[in-house]
Amino acid sequence: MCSSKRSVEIIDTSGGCGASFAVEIVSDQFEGKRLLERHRMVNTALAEEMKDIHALSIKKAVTPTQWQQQQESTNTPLTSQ
Amino acid sequence: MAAINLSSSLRLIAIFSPKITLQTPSPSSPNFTLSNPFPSISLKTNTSKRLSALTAVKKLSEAEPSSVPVENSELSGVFPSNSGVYAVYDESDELQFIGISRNIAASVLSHRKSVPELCYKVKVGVVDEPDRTALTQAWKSWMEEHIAATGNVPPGNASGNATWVKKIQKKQDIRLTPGRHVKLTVPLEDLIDRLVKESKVVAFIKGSRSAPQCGFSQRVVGILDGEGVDFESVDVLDEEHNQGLRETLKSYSNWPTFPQVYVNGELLGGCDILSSMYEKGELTTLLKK
Repeated sequence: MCSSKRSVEIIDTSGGCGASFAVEIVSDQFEGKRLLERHRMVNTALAEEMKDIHALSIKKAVTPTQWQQQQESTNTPLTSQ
Repeated sequence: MAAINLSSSLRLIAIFSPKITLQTPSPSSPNFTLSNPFPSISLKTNTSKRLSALTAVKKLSEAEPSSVPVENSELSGVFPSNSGVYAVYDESDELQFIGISRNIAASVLSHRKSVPELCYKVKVGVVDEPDRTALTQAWKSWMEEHIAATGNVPPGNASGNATWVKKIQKKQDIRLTPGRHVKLTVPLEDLIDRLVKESKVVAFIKGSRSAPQCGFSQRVVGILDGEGVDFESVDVLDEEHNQGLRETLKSYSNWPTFPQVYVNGELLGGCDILSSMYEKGELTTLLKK
């Protein structure tokens, strides 16, 4: 995990045409926020892009602590460089 | 390292816009990391081709059987809530039924309740990008494989056997107006508000509940049906009876995408949130309130 406690992974799920994406996000900005609020934050951040994107799937919107817990309990952690 | 915030990081998704010509990663290197100031962001492309159901789904003989847990609450941990085909075996390892489902875990749960003595192990074949044709094709390939190997149709699939498949009469989708020829005396936003407040669960979906027009809507309908929820559905693509609904609903909910699910008068979220809650067992708890 990087020192800024943030990681964003963007996956093009459209096969290359740029129509649909999945995102996985680790951010301390999600601390104390419900899932709906977290997704709202992502939607707001991408307001402009959403006009051109056919589909956006928010696979993960978690805090660093939650990410750590998930990493410990599964073998498929969110990658972060 | 330069500090990054959520907004500036996510804005990078725009580089994939078809209007901008940038080199995307090749299949041989699906990951690449941008240079500073964004070292914590990785971009990937999913280069896998959309295979036909026949190649995407394992053969029946190759699929691994999973035991059906005694506790219903453990089912979602064992079986996926995806669309696909599944084969049910009894305690003697005799194949009883091959089915198609929009939510495999929910279907297995339903069989577990109705015919527990015949529902011992299940093989699963998830169908990616599921449309009716792909699902039917996958089901057909499993049926043909079984018939070729045994010479018999599974008992549950035999003509006239109603043990496994119950014909459910689906509710009709709600139409917010009689048609575009009728001038509204009430703003569309008020009609939405009234529907949402007066109904326990409302799903605004693309397409009808019997034939959703997008994978996300299909998944939402599958989950709600699987949970046995008595929900109302509204087709946001029906411009004849719900004209202008998509744009009005986006501003009403402050939510830019569909499907949108409301529970007890409040926006629950879209497909991702519903799926997440379903998988954690939180949805069942919420719907019991």
